[in-house]
Amino acid sequence: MICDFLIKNPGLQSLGKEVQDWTVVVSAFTLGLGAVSLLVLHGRKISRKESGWYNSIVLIVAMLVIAFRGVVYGLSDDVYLFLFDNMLEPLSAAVYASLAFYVTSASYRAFRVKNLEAGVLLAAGLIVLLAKAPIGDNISPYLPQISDWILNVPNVAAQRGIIISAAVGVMSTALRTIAGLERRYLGN
Amino acid sequence: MEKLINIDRRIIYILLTISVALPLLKPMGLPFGLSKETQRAFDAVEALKPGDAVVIDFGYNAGGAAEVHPMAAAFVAHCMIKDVRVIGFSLDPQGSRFADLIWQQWAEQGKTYGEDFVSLGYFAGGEAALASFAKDIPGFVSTDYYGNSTSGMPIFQGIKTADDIDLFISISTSSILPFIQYFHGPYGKPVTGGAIGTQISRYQSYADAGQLQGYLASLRGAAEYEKLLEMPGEATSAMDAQSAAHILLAVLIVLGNIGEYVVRKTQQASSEESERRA
Amino acid sequence: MGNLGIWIGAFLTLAFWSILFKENPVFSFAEHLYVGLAAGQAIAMGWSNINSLAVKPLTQEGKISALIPLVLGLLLYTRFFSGEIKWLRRIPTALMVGVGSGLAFTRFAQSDLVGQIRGTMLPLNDINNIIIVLGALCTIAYFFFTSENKAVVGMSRVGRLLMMIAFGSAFGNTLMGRLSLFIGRLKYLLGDWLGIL
Repeated sequence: MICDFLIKNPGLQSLGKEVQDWTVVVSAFTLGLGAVSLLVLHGRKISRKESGWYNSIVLIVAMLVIAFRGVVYGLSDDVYLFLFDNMLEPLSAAVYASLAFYVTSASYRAFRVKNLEAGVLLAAGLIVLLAKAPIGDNISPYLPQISDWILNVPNVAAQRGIIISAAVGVMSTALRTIAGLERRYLGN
Repeated sequence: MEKLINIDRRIIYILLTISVALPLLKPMGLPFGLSKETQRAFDAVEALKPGDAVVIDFGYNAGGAAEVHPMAAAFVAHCMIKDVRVIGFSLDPQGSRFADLIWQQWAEQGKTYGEDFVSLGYFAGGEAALASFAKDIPGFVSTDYYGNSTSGMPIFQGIKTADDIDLFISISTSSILPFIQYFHGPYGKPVTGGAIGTQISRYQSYADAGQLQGYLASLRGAAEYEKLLEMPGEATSAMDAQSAAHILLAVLIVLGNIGEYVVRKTQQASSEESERRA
Repeated sequence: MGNLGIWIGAFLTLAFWSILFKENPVFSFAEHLYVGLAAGQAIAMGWSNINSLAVKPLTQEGKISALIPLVLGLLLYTRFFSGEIKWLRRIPTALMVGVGSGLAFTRFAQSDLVGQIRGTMLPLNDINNIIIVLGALCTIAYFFFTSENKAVVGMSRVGRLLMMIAFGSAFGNTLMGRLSLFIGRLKYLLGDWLGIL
């Protein structure tokens, strides 16, 4: 991959693309790993009649039905789309929407100013929070301007430092992996 | 005062629900301004000419769709109005369904699938897929999301690699940075997109460095884009509710801190008093 | 059918949200249904990729090299077997990690390291530019230096303060994002389901 990036040779580019294509296909197989693990886990739960085993039946049936319809009948199949639009989508949206309740409660309970740094964080947070909604534009024309300044100046300064530092970390981890010094991904 | 720092969480949930529901039922129509980054993203699409090609990643799932789907709809609307070719795919398994929903609306308005728009479906493999896709756009997948062969599709006329694309748009609930890394970095192509709330602070750094041609910041960004398009939609209708929720949150945080401060001072005073007596 | 679908969607939404008040069997049902549907839908999408990128090129275009990723992908599933073939899963894992590492090294170097450093090369004729340049250096000092030197410690403190401002900004934006997800769901319940919007 590194040679593919640095050396502009048609043969190397072609080989690089081929390997990338293989990686895409192999990555697609990983989507089934979770499903198989779930089958094993919940199958065991059903066979041992553990607590809540009837929910495990729901899980397995739902998984098999939507997978079967999607694979055999295609992604435009009526049953597949019904399950996606009226069950998976509302559930998925409800899961993430419930975060709003948790962040509201957590912000109220945990966000207490105990020192200068927490105070700075709170002040910046409140200014940006109010400015990001239309109400901020209507409270004061300075609020969006201050929020924009916070986002464009001190935030950019700090994010630059974080991004550059993180990039060095990613590059060193990648090199360690390529050199074989990092082998945890193999399960060692 | 102790009650102020210990409001039951269920009361908070109910307050949140009421504060969001009321403006939805009775909209106030609060006006809002435009941000520099939304204007830049708009200008990037506005600069395109009929027949230009745009690649859009519908990289979001149903969980994040409420925040980013209006952005995707707005970007596609702008492209369709400009008669620009849109090549769509998704780095998220669920994203292509949302691209399908957007496309169905434009098919009813006379746009032709395979000429104006194509959905290539889900690309597994993340960065590896982008790297390979950039080298051979028409040939990366043999069939599209609907199972049609991509070979010979009119939309790919004159397109071979990322060099032949005029703009890359990434609307993602994970990260739009791979688009910068795989299309802007190596090919120098303009990239814009939609950012979820958690990512805005980070993306500003890339926008500032010229690596991103602006971006839409969450639902507010989508509302601003709808305003620029003069097509108010889902995002615009949610802005009043957004304002109410933000006010509630700000009030709760401030009240909590005031209560904490007063309680701490009271406790300090009473402990000093008992020390003096002792 | 559309109406039934919306009623089902609304029921499932409220079923999931019932956890906000108390753990209950309706929530458990919704939770298990969600996990099952998500896993099954992922299988369907994974298959569409495998079909488009490997099976069809192999069977319809005679591309023999498409056999390699198919075999490698199947080797991933040896992890579910005990005994001597379990180690075979490491081969496709190594491929994915190797490709990912190679891509990450070059792309992060170009975009995140060089791109961001270039973006920090600003003319120091504007107070905002001065804050950005010095602020970036101070933030990097916070991460890289553990020296007791007073100047470096001072720079780290400034970097820390700037990070607090950045995190405050991120906090405000995160809250905005999370609230927008809830607004979307409530619009569905009030508009699509109850029809009162």
